[in-house]
Amino acid sequence: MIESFLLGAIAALSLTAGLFFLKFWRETRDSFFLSFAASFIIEGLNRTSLLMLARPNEGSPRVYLIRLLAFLLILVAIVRKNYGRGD
Amino acid sequence: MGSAVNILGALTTLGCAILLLKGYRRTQKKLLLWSGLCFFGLAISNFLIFVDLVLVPNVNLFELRLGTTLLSMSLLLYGLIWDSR
Amino acid sequence: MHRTLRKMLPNRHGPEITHSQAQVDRFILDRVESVPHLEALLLVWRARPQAWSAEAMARRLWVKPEVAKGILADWERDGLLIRLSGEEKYVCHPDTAADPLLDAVNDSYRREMIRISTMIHSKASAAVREFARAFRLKKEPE
Repeated sequence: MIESFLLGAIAALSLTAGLFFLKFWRETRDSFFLSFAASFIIEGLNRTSLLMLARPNEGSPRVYLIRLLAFLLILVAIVRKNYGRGD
Repeated sequence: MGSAVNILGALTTLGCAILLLKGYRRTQKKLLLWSGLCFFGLAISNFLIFVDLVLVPNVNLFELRLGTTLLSMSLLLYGLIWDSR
Repeated sequence: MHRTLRKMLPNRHGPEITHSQAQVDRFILDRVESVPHLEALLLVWRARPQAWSAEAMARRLWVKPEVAKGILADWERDGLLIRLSGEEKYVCHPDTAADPLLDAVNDSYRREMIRISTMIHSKASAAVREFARAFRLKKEPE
């Protein structure tokens, strides 16, 4: 039960962080923040889906793939910030 | 495959933490401090996944991992709410 | 005004506008964090080479002393102000290269205070911009 609580709290905070990054994207028009927003929102939804699993500790490959996507979004954002458009 | 994702995750979050904390040292903006600490905590959490599943498979560290992640996200939200304006 | 009277006045063309409005706007968008930041900078610049203390600045800007200290420290880090050693006083950087730009900014702010204040208020905070900037790996001189 406490694990469900922790998962739920993490999911809620991740989604909220995603909202903040969306706000920053709107303020700056910098797609860097959009990537971070997507990453946190995806991870928030991912954790929510973990609640549905019987054994959330190991997780299914799908969970890992989605986490991979979340990490890649951040990495791509950093790479684009440094090598994209020369700004 | 899972461990590859974990390693990538740990490196990514650790890299973000280092960049943000260096930025904090340079600019003194608290947002960078809190988010830097958050990513550092997420890196620890990622590392704990490896510890949990590989190093001490007989001990369940799930709650510890979740607790670390929750604390990290709390630090980030604190910074986003109080120090982003 | 009467034509003759106007001829008798000294030639007043205002400051040499060597910086375009776009450059002034760019300076404000890139380097000015808030309206008190801008006013503090212009106050110190106008008084050069006199120094302003953080306390006096706090009174003048109607902000708390810590806020004034933070603002002046921000400009010091940006390179436009220098802190006098040992005291909580700040003076304009003696390098006069920035003078024409600051002159144009000063003039602009006096003429279009509302437009410039609105512009400052509508941009993302410095903290958010620094968050993104922290991920720039090559540190180009800003």
